[in-house]
Amino acid sequence: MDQALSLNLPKLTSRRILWNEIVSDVLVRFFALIPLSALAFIMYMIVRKGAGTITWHFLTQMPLNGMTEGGIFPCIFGTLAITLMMILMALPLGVAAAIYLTEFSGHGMFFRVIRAAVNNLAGVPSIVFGLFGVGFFILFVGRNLDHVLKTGMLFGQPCMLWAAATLAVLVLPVIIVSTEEALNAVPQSQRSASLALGATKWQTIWNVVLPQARGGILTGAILSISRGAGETAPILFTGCAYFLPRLPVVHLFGVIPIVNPFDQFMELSYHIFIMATQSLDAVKTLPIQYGTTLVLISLTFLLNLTAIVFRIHFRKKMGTVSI
Amino acid sequence: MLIAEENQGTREKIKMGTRTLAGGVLVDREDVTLNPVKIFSQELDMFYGSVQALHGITMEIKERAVTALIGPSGCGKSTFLRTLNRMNDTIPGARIKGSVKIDGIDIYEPGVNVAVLRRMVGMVFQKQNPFPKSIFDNVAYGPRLHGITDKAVLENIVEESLKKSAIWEEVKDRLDTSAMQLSGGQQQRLCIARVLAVDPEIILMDEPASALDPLSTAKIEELIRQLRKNYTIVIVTHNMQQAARVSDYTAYFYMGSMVEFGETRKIFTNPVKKETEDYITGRFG
Amino acid sequence: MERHFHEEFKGLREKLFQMGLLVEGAVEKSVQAFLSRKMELIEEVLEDEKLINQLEIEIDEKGHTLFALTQPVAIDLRLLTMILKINTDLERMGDHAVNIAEKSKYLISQSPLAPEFPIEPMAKAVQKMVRDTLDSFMNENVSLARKVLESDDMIDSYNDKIYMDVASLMEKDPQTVRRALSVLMIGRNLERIADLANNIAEDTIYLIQGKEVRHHFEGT
Repeated sequence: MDQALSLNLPKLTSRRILWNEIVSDVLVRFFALIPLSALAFIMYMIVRKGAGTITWHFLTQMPLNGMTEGGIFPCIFGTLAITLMMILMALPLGVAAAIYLTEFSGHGMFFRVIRAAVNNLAGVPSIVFGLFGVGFFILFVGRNLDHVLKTGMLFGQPCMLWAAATLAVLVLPVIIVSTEEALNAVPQSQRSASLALGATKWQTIWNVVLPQARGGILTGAILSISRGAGETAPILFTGCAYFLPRLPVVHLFGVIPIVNPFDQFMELSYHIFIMATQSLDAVKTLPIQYGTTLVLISLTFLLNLTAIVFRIHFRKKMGTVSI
Repeated sequence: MLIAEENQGTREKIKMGTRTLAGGVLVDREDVTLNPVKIFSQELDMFYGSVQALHGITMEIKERAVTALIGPSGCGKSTFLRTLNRMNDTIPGARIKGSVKIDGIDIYEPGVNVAVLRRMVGMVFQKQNPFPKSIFDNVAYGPRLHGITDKAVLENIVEESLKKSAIWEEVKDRLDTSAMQLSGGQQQRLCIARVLAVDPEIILMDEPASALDPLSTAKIEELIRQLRKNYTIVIVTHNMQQAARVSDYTAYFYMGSMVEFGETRKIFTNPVKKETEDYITGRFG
Repeated sequence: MERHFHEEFKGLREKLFQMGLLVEGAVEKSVQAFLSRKMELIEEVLEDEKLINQLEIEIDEKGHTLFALTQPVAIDLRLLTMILKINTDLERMGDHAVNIAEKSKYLISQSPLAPEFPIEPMAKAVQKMVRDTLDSFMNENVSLARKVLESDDMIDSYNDKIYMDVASLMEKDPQTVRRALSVLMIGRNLERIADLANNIAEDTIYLIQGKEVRHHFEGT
């Protein structure tokens, strides 16, 4: 017995096996390091070159001198305004669609078709969304609205409304999928409990399912905001302006300032794009480009971070749900 | 001491030739055979798509009695239970043939409001499923659904329901804390309180103690015996001893059919069918 | 925690006690019938015996139902098994009382025997045993049960004495053989009753302490 064991021992520790282990280990680590170092390099460059530009002045002033000097306030304002408008459109639609898919559709043919459509929508290049926005929202919906409502040239032009709508379509799959996941994570037993107490399906969804899925839905919403805030292509033709000497604000009844959805707007990612490609003096504006990039990246990072914090918070809360 | 003195009295009586057997009566499980029929299922067939899950179940369930449904997994006992409050409606492709009458009314008639039916026929599930809300809100959930908003009324209902489900003493000082912080057994009793809060007449229990420790199980069983005084209870259980302990009637299901139905003490001492005997003695299969 | 079926256990136990009281009465009446030659008491004993048999069946059925429905363990299990055993013992006691009554019936119809047999003190001792054993069971009194066990030897000696007396009487006067044998049988039945009371006392100790004292098990 002992002898047989000792005969086997050298095989168990053969050098070949050990080498395999080491080589594959090193390779895996190396591949994992590539994206990490790429990210680190980009972040390092942006922070090093952009940090100097970030001043209070830079964040709160209008661009000056043909956008070679001054701040980027209209861009920050425009980004915030359009993402807000986008999420107001996309969230109700996406949540409603997800509720339909999880609670009502069953798993029939129609369900699978819609699921496929949602997944494909997520894979469409963003420039296609931009063109879709022009073709569908501005030229088709907008022009026809103008025609019917006799509003002259109000809807049928690029403006914040259509840019936000285009972005909303872009992030819809994100919201639908994350909401679906959140709804599916609510245990079936919770629905049964509510139904068995005499609640209707809607009462159950409203009182039991949605409150418990809140965390997941919010996470999805924040992720889609961060996605929408960074997109350039969909707004390229649908409402973004190269330069505007004013904020897209209108005074309701002449007093209350609100965002004007029919105005064009400046936006961070688009601003970076034009500063880098179409600036009067691309070298002189380099600090502005880096500064703007830093602001944009910080914004999306912040949003992603919020989403992560939310997710952890709600997962903890859900963890105490005994299923 | 008291017992001895009482005995002395009886002793004297007997010596004086009073041979009546008054006192010392055998306490039987309260006789419910004369209670009226609450639920009557007649030739009930149930299908999931093309699969037939129940075959011609005809059964009279007595009011204010505990009826236990036993049988091996997949025998149709839970399915039958769920036909009684139409919980099967939520499963796509489920349909029934035959009828289930509660107080003489066919609950599968087109005019029946399922939400109202489910208020009348409450259900307690296998795995305790309180909502991740406060203890108070859990119990008040049903009454609120049905339009009660008055705080004082709600408080009253919550207290009564928690008392009836024998958990009031344990939670009365922390009604605002999350129900998730209660132990498994407490959660299950909370779920029973939640059902009682909508004032049902029938309570269906789907293996209500199968996920609990022995002491919590015993508490639930005692609670069932208590509730039986005011409610009609139908309980599905895998635990035959439990069925024997808590029920007045037992139905043995096998392969979607009801093999035998009768008084629990008869089923457990002298069943008519050999299949029943084999199952309850563990000789099955 | 008090379970709902404990109520049924208690009822069964009380019913058993009722039966014990009946048996106790039957024993007393049968002995009295012999001592005071009262025919009507014999009728009563026979009546009692019917009731005792009826009760035995009732308790037996209820006990089995409780076994089936409650699957008792530990103290509940001991109680229920002991109730069923004591039930049988009590019924046997009733039978012995009837035997005594029947022998008494014969003796009453004959002229009384001249010598005194120690039936009366023996019967007193046996009745006390029966009574104490029932009380010890009902009140879970272990020391009383032990006292019952101790008095067994005394009963045996009474029985031996009766045996000797009967033997010498028969040797002296063959005319008395049938009557003397009847007296011997009464003593013999009383001794059996004492044995059964002993059994119950042992069972009571086992029930309360979970300790085996049958067949002088204790101490070995």
